[in-house]
Amino acid sequence: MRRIESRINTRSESFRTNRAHNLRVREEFLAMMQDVRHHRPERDIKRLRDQGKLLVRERLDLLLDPGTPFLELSPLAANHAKYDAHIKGAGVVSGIGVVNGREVMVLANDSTIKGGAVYPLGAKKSIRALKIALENRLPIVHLVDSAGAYLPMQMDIFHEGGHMFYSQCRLSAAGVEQVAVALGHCTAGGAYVPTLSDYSIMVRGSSGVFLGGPPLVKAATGEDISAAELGGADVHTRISGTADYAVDSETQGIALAREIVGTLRRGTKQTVDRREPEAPYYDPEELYGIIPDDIKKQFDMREVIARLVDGSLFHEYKPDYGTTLVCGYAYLWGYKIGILANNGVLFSEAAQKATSFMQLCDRDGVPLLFLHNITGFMIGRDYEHRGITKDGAKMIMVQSNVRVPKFSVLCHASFGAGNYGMAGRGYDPRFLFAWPHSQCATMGAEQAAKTLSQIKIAALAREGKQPDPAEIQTIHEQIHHDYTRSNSVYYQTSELRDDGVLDMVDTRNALGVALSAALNAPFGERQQGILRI
Amino acid sequence: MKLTAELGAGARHQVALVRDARGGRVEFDGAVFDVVMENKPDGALELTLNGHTHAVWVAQHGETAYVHAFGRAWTVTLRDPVRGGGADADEGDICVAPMPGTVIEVAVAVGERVSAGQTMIVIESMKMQLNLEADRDGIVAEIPCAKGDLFDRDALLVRLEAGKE
Repeated sequence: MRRIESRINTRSESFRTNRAHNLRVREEFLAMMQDVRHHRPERDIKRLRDQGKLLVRERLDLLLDPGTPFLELSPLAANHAKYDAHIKGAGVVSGIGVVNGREVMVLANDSTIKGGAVYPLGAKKSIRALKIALENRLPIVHLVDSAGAYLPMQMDIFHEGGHMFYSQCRLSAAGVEQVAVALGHCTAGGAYVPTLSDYSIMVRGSSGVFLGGPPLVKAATGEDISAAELGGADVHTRISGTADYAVDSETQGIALAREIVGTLRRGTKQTVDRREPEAPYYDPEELYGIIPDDIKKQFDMREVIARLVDGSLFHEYKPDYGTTLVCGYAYLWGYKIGILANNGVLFSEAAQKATSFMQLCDRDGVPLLFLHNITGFMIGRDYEHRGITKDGAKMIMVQSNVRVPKFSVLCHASFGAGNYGMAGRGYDPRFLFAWPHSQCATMGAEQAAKTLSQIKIAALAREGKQPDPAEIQTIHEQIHHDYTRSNSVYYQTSELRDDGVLDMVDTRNALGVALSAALNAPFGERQQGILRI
Repeated sequence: MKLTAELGAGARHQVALVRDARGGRVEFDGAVFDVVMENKPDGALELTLNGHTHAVWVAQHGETAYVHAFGRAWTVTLRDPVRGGGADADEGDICVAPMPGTVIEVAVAVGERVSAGQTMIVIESMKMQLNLEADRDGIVAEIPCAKGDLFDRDALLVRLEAGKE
């Protein structure tokens, strides 16, 4: 492997304008993250304190090994949701961290937000975390403190809630361990979370596990009973056997959860080619000056690779063929990976090159990283005649069926069938992250505005109406505005269409955690579909 | 394979290494030496070469190693045998369209002097804007298209005067 030779001039005007732009975007992003993670109304914090409870971030601090990385997933989920309140992070914190030396998935309710009530996107976020745990064989620690389904929206939660418990059962069948700490009342369906776990801990005084809580019991049977007597820690650990351990405080419960995690089996990781990790030769901070300030502007993705991989060392495969897609091998945090990175639209040659390269990686057990800046496959008569559709289909076929884990990062644009070819969300990459300025959709806002305004004008013409230029302009602007909003990364991440937005310079570390997690699951047998040659 | 190592700014040497548990055998411009190597707790490397023992310090950065040995500092760079080949020298003279598209901006004029990396022409194709840059320093000899022109893939967009170097 050779070091990529950067051609970036850090003193150029474009570098400076890009940097100013991207740092502004970063500030906005970090402010949003700070708000979602840490800002809560005083009265919500006081309510928890009065109940003797800790905040969710304090619970995580107690749970995770100090000084180890925590890859939080979709922290900005539900940030753009049109709910009756701002349900920060969809009311749930999920992420991959290290507990007593074991890599685990943590799934924790945030009870400062509507008492931890489950909103539709919260259910979606939990289901995604459970899927990641299943695909990557990550034991789960549940920190349960939820008021249950948010009833005004119950129809959008009912089946998703059921699917959460179903996922827990499937995880158990797959041999993935689960430890639950009940830190509040787990009522109705929520009662299944600790109960379906392998180990469950309850806190005297604050936790309760019951199919029907005291008010429902009173209404149904007239029985007057306290929560502790109905399904408190001592009832379930001494009488019913529904839970396994009773503790006196949250701190004690979380410490016990750590102890239990320490007793779990140590799985063997899938072996891959590894070497001693090394920092990139080029400073990742330079990414801010490299990524353009306009989604339409192109850049050389090798410059990104050079700031992501160990020693900026890269072996480029077929460098002179299908040059709009850069393929090659590198090491990231010591793990060998195969990279596919866009340097323009996909032509037939580029798609063919990608197909061969992915076959090589699949055979050799090399995980794949897709770096997106793609507006699509080349279109037009010449290209169709030369089989662009057929070549794109080959790329998608092999990409869909590789046995090695896939990781996607939306670095800039990711539009149309190009997103499909590059392992977009629909192609089940193990993890998909996006950069704060990126856009993802079937088409860009500009194209959508052109196409849809033409359709609208044609429809008006059929009614015998002739819109004047000002009206056309208004139609165009409205569509452009709507698309820009829905294509924006914050809308996407709010709807859980990625696993989180990343500051560019954090990408290397996030991918390191994701790669390490992915190796917990064996790669399995090679299995490929039929290629239309 | 023998590697080419450059000492400081100049002298090149052919080097081959065979490692064993204690150190190895070094071939240096045809002469062969047995070397015993040991890592010391203070970070030094103890080399025994021809019966003499030397303390050596090495710091590596990319393909360059900074070595302190035999009473002075050395810079050793490994010459990459793969690098350097590449395309014909005159490939940098022409700038062709990587895909069909439209000219958005012509940033230079015929006769103008350009430096490597300078944007000469901006094109738009498939919803993307691409800055086409000069591969080398030179003088613009020909720009066959103007702003707003359409072109096909592989069309000539800018030609530089033949290089004299």
